[in-house]
Amino acid sequence: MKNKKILFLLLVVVGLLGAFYAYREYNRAPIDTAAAAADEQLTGAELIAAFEQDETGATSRYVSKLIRVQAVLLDLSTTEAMTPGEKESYTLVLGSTAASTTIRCSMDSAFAGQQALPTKGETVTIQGICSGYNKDELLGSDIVLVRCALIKE
Amino acid sequence: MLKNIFLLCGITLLATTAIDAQKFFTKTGRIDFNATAPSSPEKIEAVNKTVTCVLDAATGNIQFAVLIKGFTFERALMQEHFNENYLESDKFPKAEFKGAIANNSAVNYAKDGDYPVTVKGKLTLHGETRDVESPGKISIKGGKISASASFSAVLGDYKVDVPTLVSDKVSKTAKITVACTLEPLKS
Repeated sequence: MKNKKILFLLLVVVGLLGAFYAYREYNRAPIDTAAAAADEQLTGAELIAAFEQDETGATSRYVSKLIRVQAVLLDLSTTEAMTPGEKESYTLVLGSTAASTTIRCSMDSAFAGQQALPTKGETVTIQGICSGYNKDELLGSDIVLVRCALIKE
Repeated sequence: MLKNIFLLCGITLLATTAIDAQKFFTKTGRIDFNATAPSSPEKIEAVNKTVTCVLDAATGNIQFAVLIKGFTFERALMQEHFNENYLESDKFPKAEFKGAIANNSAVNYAKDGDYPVTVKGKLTLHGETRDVESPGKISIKGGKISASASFSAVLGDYKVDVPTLVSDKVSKTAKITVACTLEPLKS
């Protein structure tokens, strides 16, 4: 009888732990790109060279990873919010005027932090998730980073 | 007087031709993806703000491309399932649409205004290509062009399987909304 009670209690505890884990996993927020440690840290020139020289290798190494990249800001544009409750977002284009490939970083205003937005020509450090490489002969190629955050160094 | 009219006509024609001959583009277009089932207590939706779009005003040809991994969800688990189980983004990293504005002649790219259009073309998603036809809108304001369209895609047509277990949450049809503000492409 005592053994049955212990077994029942054990099953209840395991069930509760399982439910708690499922609940937490289900509601897990996306990675905080501003605070998390980067999987890879490199300069813009290194990232661009990696994709231009070996797209397959660079894709398997960098795509879906949290990348910290330092490069010169070539352009910054703002996109107005389109849905209620949403905030404006920014696109920072990093690279060098000499290269045809750039790094396009999509950043929500929340990730801009308290600091002022950088200006063109400034060297910036951005941390974001690499979503892939857009090869385009007409428009120029891009390495795309999303959920980007400005990192103050 | 007649000379002035000819001159005015000439200038108007030149300006119209110059605008018509232009291509317009963006790399910061937006696609909203919504596959929320009617009975679902929560929203199954994602947004991608890194859409590339090119519009040829002369022909009405329009195309857009998007990296699947660029879609962001509020919940990490949804995003993982979207990439790994549904759209298999490692195998099929991009989705693209290639088509044309069927009634492009109805759009006066030199004049501000909202122009209802019909977009026809082929949508490639999850490695499958299907014909798509959708109503849309071209808005011209101060030399800037905004293009928007909304259509439904039956996920099964693109071989995206929705397991029965989640069919009360994930709809078998996704609503896809595209919105792009285009700038002249300098060649």
